Amino acid sequence: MITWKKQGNAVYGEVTLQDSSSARVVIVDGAKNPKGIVLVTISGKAGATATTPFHDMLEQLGPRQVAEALALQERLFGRGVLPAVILS
Amino acid sequence: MSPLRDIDTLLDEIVTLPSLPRIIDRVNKLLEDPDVSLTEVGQVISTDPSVSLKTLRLINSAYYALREKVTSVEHAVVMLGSKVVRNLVMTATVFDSMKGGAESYIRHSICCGILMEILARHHRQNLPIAADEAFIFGLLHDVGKVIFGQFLPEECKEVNAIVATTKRPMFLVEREIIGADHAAIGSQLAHRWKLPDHLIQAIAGHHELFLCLEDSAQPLCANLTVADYICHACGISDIEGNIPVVDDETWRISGLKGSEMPKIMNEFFDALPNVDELMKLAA
Repeated sequence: MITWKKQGNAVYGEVTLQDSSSARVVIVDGAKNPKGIVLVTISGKAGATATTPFHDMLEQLGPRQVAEALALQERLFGRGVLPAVILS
Repeated sequence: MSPLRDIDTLLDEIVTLPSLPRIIDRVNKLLEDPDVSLTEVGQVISTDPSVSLKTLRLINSAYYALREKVTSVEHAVVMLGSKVVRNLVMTATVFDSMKGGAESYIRHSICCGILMEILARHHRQNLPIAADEAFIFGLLHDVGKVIFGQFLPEECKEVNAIVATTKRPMFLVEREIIGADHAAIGSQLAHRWKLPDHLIQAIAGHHELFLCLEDSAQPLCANLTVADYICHACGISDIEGNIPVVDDETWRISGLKGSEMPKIMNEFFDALPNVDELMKLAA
């Protein structure tokens, strides 16, 4: 299960991608905003980061990771059909 | 630690099991006859007014969103086909078995049913069952909890308190406190109800896949486990802190891919406003 942390208005959690590299799922808004959930990866040896829309990286994620991230996005920024969640 | 209870003894001596209406058995037998007429199936279901009424309420609920209002079971059979109606009768009957369960339990079970139905529609290769049958799997997966709640209330309270504070898997705590877990007792109930083998196996293995003894039922069981997990991840839990653990092998056997999850999750979120209406059927 992804461990989620809160920083300001954003919530993030670490995931391992299919190619075994690490990435961070960052949720800042609801599903209507295409940038509401993104994946931050390390690009290149210099350690620069790249931000990609979450839905463009689905092939790199497992079903559990996608389900957990979308469930949390809906609970935090959704239409109110799921119980709200409070993260410390 | 409580000694492990023999499930049959528990069912025979402690628990008076709710019985499945005989109508289900009669309909199942009728459907084995390839020459049976739709009218005949409808007429047999109609002989049980309580089951008929509940089935019609279910069919006409917003969840099924039929364009035309169904006014009789015979009408439903002609419109939807006898197997679909048989599954709906079964669903309506299962709602009865949920009476006495906590509201959070009923909501969790219905949501798990909805998710199973969506998975069955999207995922026919790994889940080769009709969507309306898949709904029953979700509804029934935790039926053992109702039995514990009704017949062993003190032990149940203790289990719930331990799960809420320790976050340990509920089925393990049940084994310690009660001597049996809800998956085992639920599958035994399904067996006594003469439900299909793959449903019995899926209920038995929904927390530990290796307890699903039929290899052919394992993908179905894995999908049920995943549906249960997703409901918990969405905050639709029967008990605070009760989040099951799903191992990587179960996810693999479920056959789900990350790329198909957004569509499945969105359909699930879209269906949730209908849950309250379905909950009235279990009231």
